[in-house]
Amino acid sequence: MKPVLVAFATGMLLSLTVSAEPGWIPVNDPAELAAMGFPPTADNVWRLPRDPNQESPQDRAALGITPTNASYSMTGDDFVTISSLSDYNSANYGYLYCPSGATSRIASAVVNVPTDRRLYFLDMWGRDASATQDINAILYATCQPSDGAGPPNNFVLAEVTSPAVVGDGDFFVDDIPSAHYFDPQRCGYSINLVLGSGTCVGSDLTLYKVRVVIGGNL
Amino acid sequence: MTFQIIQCKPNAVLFAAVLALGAAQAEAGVLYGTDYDSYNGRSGRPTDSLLSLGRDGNFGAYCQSGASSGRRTVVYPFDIKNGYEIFSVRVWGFDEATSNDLSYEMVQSCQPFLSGGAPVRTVLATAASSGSPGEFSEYLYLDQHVATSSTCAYFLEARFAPDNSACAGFDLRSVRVRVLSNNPDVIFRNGFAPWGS
Amino acid sequence: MSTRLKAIVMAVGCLATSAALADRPATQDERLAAGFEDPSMSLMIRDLPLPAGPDSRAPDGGSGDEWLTRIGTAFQGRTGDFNFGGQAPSIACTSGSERFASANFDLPAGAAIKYVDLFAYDNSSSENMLVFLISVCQGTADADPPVSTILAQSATNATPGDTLVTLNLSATPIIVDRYSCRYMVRVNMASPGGTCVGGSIFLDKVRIQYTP
Repeated sequence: MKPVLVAFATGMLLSLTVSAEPGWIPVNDPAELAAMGFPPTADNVWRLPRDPNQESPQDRAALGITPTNASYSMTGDDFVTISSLSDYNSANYGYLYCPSGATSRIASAVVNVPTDRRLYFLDMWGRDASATQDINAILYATCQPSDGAGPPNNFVLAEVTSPAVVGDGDFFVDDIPSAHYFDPQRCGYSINLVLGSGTCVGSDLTLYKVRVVIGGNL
Repeated sequence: MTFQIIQCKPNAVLFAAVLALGAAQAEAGVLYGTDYDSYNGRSGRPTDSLLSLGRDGNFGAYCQSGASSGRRTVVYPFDIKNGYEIFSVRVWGFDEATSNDLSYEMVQSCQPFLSGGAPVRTVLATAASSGSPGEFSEYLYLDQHVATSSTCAYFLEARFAPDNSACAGFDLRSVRVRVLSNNPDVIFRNGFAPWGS
Repeated sequence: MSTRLKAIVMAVGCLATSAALADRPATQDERLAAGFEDPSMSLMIRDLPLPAGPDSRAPDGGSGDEWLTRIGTAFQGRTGDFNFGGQAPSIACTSGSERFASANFDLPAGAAIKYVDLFAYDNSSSENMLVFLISVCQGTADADPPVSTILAQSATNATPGDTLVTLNLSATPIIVDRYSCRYMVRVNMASPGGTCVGGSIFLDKVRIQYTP
């Protein structure tokens, strides 16, 4: 492992305490916060800076029965809508979309990852057949004091957005974030999913799966 | 708040040592069999489809139901391997409600191994917010309870109000839940992943 | 490669067992029973016979087996129309016709799924609860929709009250491909009638026994 990466990773780990280190980028655009599902006035949302010394991503060869990439995946049944009474549909297959005409289009899922594993990729599969709206998924760390009360801070670790419509709209996208190591003692990890930017468009914006790829075996 | 260290000194000493080790080793990237699992508040599953839950700006959950029929509880199921020791559950929340507190029960639910039978619930530990402190954190001590996952399931149940009663809305929020368990067979483990870490 | 051919290749790859597999497309009746109505989407069925004979498992597992459980409360309705209630860990489908609920099982890579156990209560003279083990697989960088395969299924029968239904896969365990697949259990809480029967049928929990 390169020394610069160790130093950077250590900084990232230590930064996930009560407040963000100066290196983290605050998210303070009200429209961007609202689009993420936060209050427009939120002052506890931060973004992981990109590491200019990022190493090349590891081989993503598909698994046989011997794992080479550990991962945690979430499909539609793992997500809960922002309000428990919001309408949703799994399209029968464990996918997720918000029915046409509905106004609640935000959902979230917990990401369970072991301590100290490195984040490598955020992957998303889905269907985007909308010419005007996209699907967006963000991996957050929400961190608090380890053993007491305190205000949470939210850290954007990785983000993916569906591409322009191609063919019938099925897509795969990924994000290769800067080095970051998980710390579930201090932080909870969540995927925030946003299905479009206005009134729901039904199955034209459908999530198939989100996957967090990490180091080691799992 | 349930914190029984005074009643069980040997366990308390061991527990404190493991906690200290866990914290220190987590900083250094090495663990001794301990495992933290964190769950955001909104991931709690409602026990009734009529329960109206909202989400705050930190993935926390709050109950919006008025005084109508139905339960006022959400459940956080835990995956704990057979034979692992459950040390504790820590909860974080927000309570500015003068009328309601947020109470928690850590539940073990067991059924026969290979036959039908009604679930038998045992409450292993409890905790609750009190007053209206704003941000709070409580601790449920499990006294190294050994999980029997072949017959039992484990979950935390959070209650926003008595059943059929009005919730306190945004003033009472379940923000995060964390369970700490331990694999008793691990004496030393290098937490660094085998490649690329 | 055509989408259909890729789907078949993916399904076979996901199972990753040494046994000769007999996956075939689901019939429309099978789709309806499992809650997969859309005939344009790929749904495969694994037709391996479940082994007969006594189930001699013990709670200590033997051979290092592990268990992973999803309580009824952890199951999520197929749509927002799923009406449910009950004291955790159990849920009943309280009203309406949306009777399907699912939960994902987060199993370790390479684990061998040997048994799926449904713990339930069935006192309905008209309806039974069906249980399905389903894999949902998708290749990295492959934009095609996932391939769903019903790996095993069974149902409660008559009015046993508290009951256990087992999917015994021990003769040909399912090898978990965690990187490409998710494994979910789906229940149909009102079959064949299709209308929920409230407290006459409860889902208590589903337990998977696997060898890590």
